[in-house]
Amino acid sequence: MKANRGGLPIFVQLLALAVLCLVSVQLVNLAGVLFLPDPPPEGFSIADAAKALQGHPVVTPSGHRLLAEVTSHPPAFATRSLPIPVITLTSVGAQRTLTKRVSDDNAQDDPLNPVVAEALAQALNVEPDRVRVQVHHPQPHFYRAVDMASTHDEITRHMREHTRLVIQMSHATVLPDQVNLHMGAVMKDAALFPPFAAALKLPDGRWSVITPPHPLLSAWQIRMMATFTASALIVILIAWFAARRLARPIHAFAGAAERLGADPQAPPLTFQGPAEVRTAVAAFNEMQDKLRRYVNDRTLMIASIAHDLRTPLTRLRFRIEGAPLEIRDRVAADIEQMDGMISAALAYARGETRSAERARLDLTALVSSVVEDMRETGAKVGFDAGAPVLVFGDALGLKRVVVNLIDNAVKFADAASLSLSREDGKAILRVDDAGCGLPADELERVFEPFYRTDAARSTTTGGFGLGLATARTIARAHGGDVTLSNRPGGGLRAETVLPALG
Amino acid sequence: MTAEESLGRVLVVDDDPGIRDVLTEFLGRHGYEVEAAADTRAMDVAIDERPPDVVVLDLMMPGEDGLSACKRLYAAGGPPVIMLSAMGEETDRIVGLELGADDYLPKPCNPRELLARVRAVLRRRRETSRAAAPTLFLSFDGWKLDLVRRELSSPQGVTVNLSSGEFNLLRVFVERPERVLTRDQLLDLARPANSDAFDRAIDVQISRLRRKLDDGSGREIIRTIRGEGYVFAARTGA
Repeated sequence: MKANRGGLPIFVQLLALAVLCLVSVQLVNLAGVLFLPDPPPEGFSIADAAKALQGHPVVTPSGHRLLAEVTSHPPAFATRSLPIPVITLTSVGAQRTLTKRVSDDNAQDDPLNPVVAEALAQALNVEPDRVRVQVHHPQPHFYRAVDMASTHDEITRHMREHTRLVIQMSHATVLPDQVNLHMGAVMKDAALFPPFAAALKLPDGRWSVITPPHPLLSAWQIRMMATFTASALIVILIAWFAARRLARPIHAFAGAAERLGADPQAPPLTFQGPAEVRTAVAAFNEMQDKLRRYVNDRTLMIASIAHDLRTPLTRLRFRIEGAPLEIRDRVAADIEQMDGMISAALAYARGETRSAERARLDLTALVSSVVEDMRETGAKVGFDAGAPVLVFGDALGLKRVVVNLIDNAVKFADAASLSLSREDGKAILRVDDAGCGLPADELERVFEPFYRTDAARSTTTGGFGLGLATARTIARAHGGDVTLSNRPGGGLRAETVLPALG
Repeated sequence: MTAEESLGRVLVVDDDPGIRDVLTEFLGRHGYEVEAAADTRAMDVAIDERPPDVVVLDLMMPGEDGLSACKRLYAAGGPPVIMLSAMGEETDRIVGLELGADDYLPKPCNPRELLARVRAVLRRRRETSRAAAPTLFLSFDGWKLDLVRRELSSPQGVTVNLSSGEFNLLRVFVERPERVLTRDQLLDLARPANSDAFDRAIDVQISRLRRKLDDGSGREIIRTIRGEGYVFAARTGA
C-alpha cells in the first residue's frame, strides 16, 4: 500500500476550500479599501473650464476630456436669468465669518451656479453676464453651512463631515467653491468644483459651451469592479487547483476500476486519495477478490467435472477398441462429440478466469496462421493479410476467438471471409459470411452461454452454445468486444474490436 | 506382434483403476510389457525396481500431481514421459512439454494414437543419446522460435503466430542454415507424415514466411537460389 497522498476526507477538503475562498475574497476587498489611493475627484477647476471655453482642449484630473462646442443658440441653462449672489468674508482676528445670500426667486437653482459663473467670468476676463453655469450633481450639504453665518471652525467641521472638495491653505481649511472669488489665482487654478456646464457668449453672438464629461462608470464604481474582478480571479484560481486535486484520485480510481472490469485477474488497486476514495477502493478490492474467488471456484468445478467425465470416456474409448469396426467408429464419434462439449465448457470457464501471459503480438500473423490451419482442414476461409497490427494479448485466447468466429461462419454459411484493419487505435477483425444472417432479436442472445439458435440445435455438428460466449469473454478480457450484425447485402458479420498498440 | 521379447517396458501411472486396466490390457495386447501404479509414490517404487522405457503419466492425481512428478523425473534424467491428461487444452499441453514431458495426449485419446506416440518416444530415445536435453527454442538474427508453443518472437519482442505449415517449414530452415534446400527436400522435411500438400504450397508458404520475417531492414532471410531452391541466411543458435 502506498503512502496516503491527498489523504484528507473530501468533506474536510471542500470545507477548507470554501473557507479559503471566503477569506481570500475578503482579504482582497479589505486590501482594496485600505491601500488603494483615492480616485481622482470628478470635478475640474475654474481655470480648466476657462481654457476649455476659449477653445483649448483640457484633460480634467479624473482623466476626461473637456472640449467646448460652438453653437449659434445658447444652451437651455443659459437662458435663465442669473441669481445675484452676495458673499461676504469678514475677518475678526483669527475668526473669519463667511456669508452668502442668494436671491429668493431662484431658490431651486443651485446656489453654486452664480458663484462659479462669476469666478469663471473673472478667469475669462469678461463681463459676468456673458457667462452661464449649471452645476451638475448638486451637493446641498456644501452650502448649508454657507447659507447661514457660521464661524470658520463650524464650516471646517461641517466640511470634514460632508465634503471632499477641500483644499489646504496655510493653517485654515477653506471651502473654495463659495469663498475664494476674491482670493486670487491660486484658488482659481487649484480648487476643484463639482462638474458643471458652462456657456460663454462669444463676441459674434454665438455660444461656446462645455458640458461636463459623462463617464459610463464613475471612479469609485471602477474601483469596486476592479476588486470584484481580482477576487473572482483568485477564487477561480483556487477552485481550479482544488478541483484538480480532488478529481485526480477519483479519476485514477475510475480508470483503475475500468481496467479491472476488463480483466478480472488484474492486480488490486492501490490505496490513494481522499479518505472516501480509499474506502471505496478497499470495498472495490474486496468485491473484486470475492468475485475472483467465486469465478475461480466455478472454473475449478467445471474443470473437475470435465476431468471426471473424460476418465470414463477414455475407458470407453479403449474398451471399444476390440469391438466390430462399425460400432467402434460410431461410438468413437460419439465420444469425440462429448469431448468437444467438454472442451467448449472448459474453454469458456477459462476465458473468464485464466491469468494468461500477455505479450505484444502481431494480430495479422495470428489471424493468417489460424486461417492457414483451418484451410488445411478443408474450410473455405478468405483472408488477405495486410500490414501487421500489434495488440497486447494472450495468443492462445485470441486464437480461440478467431477460430470460434470462423467456425461459426463455416458451420452456418459454409465459408468465411476475413478482414483485419486498424482504425482509430483499434484493431478491428471482421468475419463475414454469406449465410442467411440472424433475426435482429437473436444478435445479442446468441452471446448468452448455452444459448443456441434453432439452426444450431438441428445440426449434428452443433456445439454447446459456448463459442460466441467464449469469444466475447476473451475479447472483453482484452478490453475489447465481439458484436454481431447483419450485413446489408445479406449474411452475418462478426466484428471483434481490440485495443491496438501504437 | 512377432517379437520374441517385448517391444519395451511401459509404466502406467493413473489414479483411476479402470484406466490402468484398459491401458495395461491394450498396450499388453500390442506387445509391450506394462506395469501400473496408482500414484507417484508407487511410480517411484516401480522405477527403482525396474526402470521402464517410458512412463504414461496422468496429470491430475491425488497426492503429488503429474506435472511435478514429470518435472522431477526430467530433472533426475529418468525415463521419458508421455503425459495423459483430461486437461487437454493447449496451455496445459504447453506447460507439460515445457516441464520436460516428451509428449502430451489429451483424454479421451484414440488408443492407436497412444500406441504411435509410445513407439515414437521409444524410437527417439534409441536414436538420441540419453543426456541430450530436448530443445525448446531456436534462435536466429535476434528472432526466437518457440518449439513448444510453435510461436515466433521478433527481435522487438512481438509474438508472431505461425500456421503449422509455416512453423514446420521455418523449423526446417533454422535447423539447416546456409544450405541450399530444394523444393523437394523442403516438402519431405516440412510435411507431416500424413499430409498431402502440393508442391506449389511451399512457394506460397515461403512468401508468407518472408512477410512475417520482414523487420523493415530490407534484408532477405530466406533467399531464392534460381533453379535450385532456397537458402536460410541467418546466424542461428539454440
